[in-house]
Formats: sequence, C-alpha cells, structure tokens
Amino acid sequence: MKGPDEALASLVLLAVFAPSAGAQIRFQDITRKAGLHFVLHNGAAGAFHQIELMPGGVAALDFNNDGCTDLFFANGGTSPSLQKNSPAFWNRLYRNNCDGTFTDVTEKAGVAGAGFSNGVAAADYDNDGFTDLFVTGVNGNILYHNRGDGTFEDVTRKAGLAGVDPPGKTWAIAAGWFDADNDGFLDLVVTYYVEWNAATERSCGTGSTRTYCHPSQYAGLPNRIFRNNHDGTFSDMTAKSGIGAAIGKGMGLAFADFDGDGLMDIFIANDTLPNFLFHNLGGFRFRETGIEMGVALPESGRPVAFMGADFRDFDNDGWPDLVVTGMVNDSYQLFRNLGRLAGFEDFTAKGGLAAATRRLTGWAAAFFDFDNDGWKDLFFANAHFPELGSLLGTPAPLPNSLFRNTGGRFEDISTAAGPDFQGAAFYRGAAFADFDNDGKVDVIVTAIGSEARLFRNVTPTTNHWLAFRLRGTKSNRDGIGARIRVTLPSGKTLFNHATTSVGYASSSEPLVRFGLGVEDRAKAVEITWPSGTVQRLMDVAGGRVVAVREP
Amino acid sequence: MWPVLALLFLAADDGRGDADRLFASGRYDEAANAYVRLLETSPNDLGLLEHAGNSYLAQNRPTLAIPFFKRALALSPNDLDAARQLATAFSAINEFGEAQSLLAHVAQLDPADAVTWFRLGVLMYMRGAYPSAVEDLDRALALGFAGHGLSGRDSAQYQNRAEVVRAVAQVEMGRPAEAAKELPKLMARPENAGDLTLRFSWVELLYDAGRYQEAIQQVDIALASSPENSSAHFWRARILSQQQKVPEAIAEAEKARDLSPESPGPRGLLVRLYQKVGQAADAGREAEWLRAHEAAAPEPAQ
Repeated sequence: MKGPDEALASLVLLAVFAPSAGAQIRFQDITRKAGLHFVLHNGAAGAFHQIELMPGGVAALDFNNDGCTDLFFANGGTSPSLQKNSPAFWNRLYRNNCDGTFTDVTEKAGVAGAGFSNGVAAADYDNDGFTDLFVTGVNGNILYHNRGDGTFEDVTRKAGLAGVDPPGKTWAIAAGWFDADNDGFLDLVVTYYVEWNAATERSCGTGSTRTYCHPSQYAGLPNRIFRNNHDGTFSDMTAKSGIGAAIGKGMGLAFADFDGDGLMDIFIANDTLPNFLFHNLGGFRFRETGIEMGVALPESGRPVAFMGADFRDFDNDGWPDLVVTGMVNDSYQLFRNLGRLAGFEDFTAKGGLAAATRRLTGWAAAFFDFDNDGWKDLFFANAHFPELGSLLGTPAPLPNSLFRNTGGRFEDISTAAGPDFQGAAFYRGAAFADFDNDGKVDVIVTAIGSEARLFRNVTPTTNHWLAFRLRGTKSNRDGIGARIRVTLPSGKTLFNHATTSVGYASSSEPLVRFGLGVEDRAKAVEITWPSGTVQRLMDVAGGRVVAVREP
Repeated sequence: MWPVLALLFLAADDGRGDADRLFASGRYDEAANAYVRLLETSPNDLGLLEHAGNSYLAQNRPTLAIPFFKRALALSPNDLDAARQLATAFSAINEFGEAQSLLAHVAQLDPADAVTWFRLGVLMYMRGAYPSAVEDLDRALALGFAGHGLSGRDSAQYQNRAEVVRAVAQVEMGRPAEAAKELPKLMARPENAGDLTLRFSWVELLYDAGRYQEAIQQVDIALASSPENSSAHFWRARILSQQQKVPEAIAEAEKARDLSPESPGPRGLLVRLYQKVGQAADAGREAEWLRAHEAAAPEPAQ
C-alpha cells in the first residue's frame, strides 16, 4: 500500500503527464487570403490511366532563408502523354511574404518542371545553406539545385540522377533526404510504384463502365537509394545496399532511427503489399525487416493498400512509432515501437484508430502537436478513389481527419476542428510548418482537381512551445536525423527528430518542434547529432525558434 | 396424320412434365439435360430457358446457368425472375459488379420488393460497400418481408438475416455505436446462437473499444460450440496479446496457426509475440513463412 507521500507523488506525476487542459484544435482555411491558388491537375480525360490517381506532393521549405516558410507544389501533367503543355500543369513555387501572403515565383525561380510530377523532397543536399528540391515523376525525376539567388538549376543529369532506367520502370512517387552513413551529406531515397506503360495498360471495369485498375494489374518495382558523393553527384546504391532486392509498390516513406543505434532507418508504405522497414546496418547496407519488426502487415495478416506514413514517437517513450494510412475497410495502422529491436505492436485498436478510420481512405499522415500540449496529434489527408464513391454509396471526396492525442491514445476531433476543416475534396499530400510563426503548426494540403488548402492553426491555447532550427557542421547542414530529447521542469520528457519526410510524397519544414504544455521552458535539451556529437542546452525558454549550431 | 400430331404434342407435354418432375425430385443434372433438349425445338421459350438456368444453378454450376438467363433476359428485358437469378449466378462466380447492376435494375422495376433490396444489401456487404449495404438493408427492413409471397417462417428468416448483416456491416464501416445497440439483441435470438460471423463481429467491436474481458467471454462462447475454430483461437490470441498475457497469447496463436496453417494472421501475431519473449528463432521461422506466403500469394483480383 502506498504511503501518503508516495500517493501524492503519484498524483503529481499523473497531473504532469496527463495532457494539459484540452483546447479544441481548430483550423481556419486562409488559402484565398494568403493568395494561394494552386490547383493540382492529374490530366484525367476519361481514360482511367493509373498515374492519375497518385500525384499531389507539396513541400514546406524556406528557400530564401528569410525565416518564413515557402511552398512548392508538384503538379501532374497530361495523361497519358506526360506533358506540362500548359501553365495549369506547372509545378509551383510560392514565396512566403512574411505578412500572411504568398507570391507565385515559379517562373523566376525556374521550377515549372516537365513531365508528370508526383512528389517532392526538400533539403540542402550540398550543405551550401540553401534548400534544394528533388521532384519525383512518371518516367523522370528532377533535382533542382538552389543557387541562393531565388533561382534553381536543374542538375539532374549533372548529378547522375537522370535516366536510371528505361521509361515504364521509373514511376516514382515519393522521395526523401537522410544521411544513410552519417558522413555529413544527405543521401536520397526514391520510392517507386509500378511498371506503367500507357500503350499496354489494360482496361478495367464492369460492362461499359470503366474504372481505374486494381494495383494487382501492374508489376511492382524496387525502390532506389543514391549516395551523395559530396561533389554534387550521386551514386546509385540500390543493388549494393540491399534496398533493390525488395520489390514493392512504394508509396509514402519516412525515416527514423527505430532501434537507437545512431543510424536512420527507412520505412516505405506499399500499396497492397507488405510494408518495408529497411534496417540500416551501417556501411550503406540495409536489411528489410518489416515482417520481423511487425510493421509489414496489420494484425489480420492481410496486406492492405498502405499509402502515406509518419515515423515519430507519439507516446513520449523515446522510441519512434509508425502511422500508415490505408484504404476504406482497412483501418489506418498505428504501430507502437516496443524499444531497441523488440519490434512493434499493432496499436491501432488500442490507440483509438481502428473503428474511427475504417470508413476512410487516407493519403498523407502526420504526427504533430497541434495544441502544444506535449503530445503529438494526428492529421490525415483523406479521399476515396473516384469510382469508389458510387460503390460505397458515399461521396468519394472526403474531409480530412484530426485526432487529438489524449496521452498515448487518439480521439477523433475532426468535426470540432472548425467549419473550414469539414470541406471534402480529393486530398493527397500535406506539409506541415508554422507558416505565420505564431508557434502553432499549420497545414497545407493538396487536392486533385481543386485548390490546395492552407489551414491556419487557430487553436485557442496558451500552451507553450519550443522549436529548433539545426545547423549541422560535422553532420549534414540541415541536421536531418538529429534526435532531440527535451526535459521539462516537471521532469516530463519529450522526443522528436529532424526529418522533412512526412506523409505522402511530401516534405515538411526541417525544424524540430515541441509542445511544452503549461510549462514555459525546457530544463534541459539534449541533441544527438547524426555525427554522434551530443549537445546539451540548459534552461531554454520556450515560445521561440532556437537556432542551434553543432559544436 | 392425327396420331402423329398427337404423339408430337404428347411428347412435348411429357418432356416438359418429365423435366419438371426431375427438377422437383432434386435430379437437377437430368432436369437440365431435359430442358436443354426441349430448348432445341423451342429456343425462345422463356420458361424453359429459366428452368434450364435454375437447374444449373441448383447444381452449383453458375457458369452454365448464365447463358440461359441471359437469353431469357434478351427475350424479355423486364423479366424480374431471370434478372434475379442471373444476379445470383454472377454473385456465385464473384462477378459482383454484374450482379449489382442486375439487382439494381430489378429494384428499379419493383422498388417495393423487400427481398430484392435484401439481396442487394447482402451483395453490397460482400463487396465491402458497407454504407450501401446498410442503406439497402434499411430499405428492405422498412418495407418488411411479410406479404411478398413468403411464408411466415421465410419472412422471419429474411428479417433476421437483414438485421444481422446490417449490424455486421455497421461494425465493418466503423459505426460501433449503432452496431452495439443491435448486436446483443441479435445474438440473444436462438436462431443466431451459432452464428459465428455475428459473434466475431461483436468481438471485433469489443476489441476495438478495449473491452477485452467481454470480448474474451464472447470468444469462449464461440469456442464452446466450435472448439476447433481457428478464428476463435486467433481472436483469443489477439485479445490476450493486448492484455499483455504473452505466453497464453502464444499458445492460442499457435493453436490458430495449427488449425489453419495457410492463414497469415496467426503467423504475423506469432512473430511479434515470439520476439517479446526472446524466441528469435521461432519468430524468424514464422517471418520466413510469411515472406514465402506473400511472395506466392496472388494479389486480389480487380
């Protein structure tokens, strides 16, 4: 039996660890006010080519280092001819004017692109202090080097990233930057979906009614990994690394050091096939461990149509967990990391997602602490496939979803997130950043056939926050892969890591954010850089972005 | 002349009557042959075409039945019986899209027919289109099954099945509150006592809600009547795993695996459970099986 002091201590501990008083998370659609008018076009013209289903990546990046987060949208093209033959199909770069508005600077920046684009990954691959862009697409990707003067140069060929395979084998969906070997330069992973060729693509449907084919009608592809040679070029390490041995139907990807060995691992969501978890063995070698670690399949043992993913610690135990979106009738999956190579448990039902997401089809997924209460919440971008609506008897466009983390379990609060949040569309990619620098994480979401929506976080909360802008010296300049542990005065610990690969084919700000709840400062901050350097900061006041240079 | 004509008529009458008698006595193969022979001389006889189709359907040979019902429908596009039976045949070969179109056509022509809405609802359930299934079954239940030429018993059976499928669909589509109101009532009916789909649906709802003790009680009821049911053991393993009763969960998952060796669910759970208790070799073996299974498994058809 507990003594009174012990009981009191337990109560205090409970009070500290319980989520702070729940402000209702709310979002306001400020797209028009912000001057954004990007429409994602997939070129669909009634012929039901599979490529039309997949575009929609968006990046939140600060390309001009003015401290305000800008936006890059990947756009589709004509289908099936894969052209950007009108400005409607251009990829778009919007500069954040730091006053709540954005300006389209696509032409000046030279990033309108070519072909049929799908996704985007933003990071500073050459450590020159300016964020670069990698744009994935059907039969061709583009690497843009940021010149630092507001313009970009297409360096795809120069970098050795062009023409890695013949057309038909290069339908890339997502890409992500991480430092596979901790050599201080970011390497590149690209997910590949299926072999697609308009000339040989079969027709699917019933009678005279045509629909998009099931993914089973297409052969899967290996994903690819490229090592940064430190001179602006890359080497294809797909075969040597072991990544290429696993054939999947790659969609979203996310990075985290799931076993705490100091090396970032790769999670890739597969459509209708088991997911991949590539365990980084060091020396640019990877072993696919999805089944062994328990993240390849849901508890039913049946692969489902996995789409987007995020790989972060939602229960504040220091181990990154996984969330993966899927298709209607298959709940989105929540996999809880049990610790150093102990595998993951299927936490979907326990976490409150099983029944709540079963009727949804999801694309982007992300863990962010939208109410700054110290617990990462969940955002999902949703939409059924177009023809599914008539079969299901429900509209195919869907509103997005928001789940509040109530202390390791999630509660669906979507309908209370404000009237603007209820709008349905064919949502796809999403990126997360504090676009107005008010300390609350905002969301930009793309939607096929309609305007991308910028949801400003207007949660009425006095909770505190803290963010870190990392600058690696021995590590990659963006600090991607750095793990941060924040200890609050109460003793509560929070964990996060630097990554831009979040959701579906998209890229979020590189800042590492923490909600502090009612506490206004961090007692201690420990940053473990990819180089292995451990940096400690003491008594760090909240309510600000702290720039940290690797010692 | 007269005797010859008389023989012909007699033959025609006898042939049809014989075929009907064969069908009525359950000799469907012979009945089908008889109807097909009769169709050689009367190829556009609607009744014969439907009888032939029904004879093949009764033998569970839907692909042979389909051409006869199609011919019947071509002759009489608004023949509701032919359309219903053709839908049944398409359903039997998993051509759900075709079946759905036909039943929707029938429902349009005869919107007051509860049985058609019921069949459409069940079909939509089988297609995984749970919201549509619930809508169609709601409509069937609102119309009621009495007074559709069904016996009182048949009508009650339709009513019960419609309620059961609707409740299960509500669980599948993530409407636990609605389902929770219906499922206990439905399970209390004697005719549903052995319905494991219904019981497992209740188990799923309880499991999703974290009501593990109640869930395991329901599984135990299922196991009392079906001790060798692999799904019941798998459910037990999943629940015990959530309760952190790892050794017990392993024992149940192993039972489920042994009872249904080709089922991946218990294997996947065993990988996780073996790892929890440090049985790395066992986990590796099950993982290897899963990899091989996934590599060999055909993906779901369009």
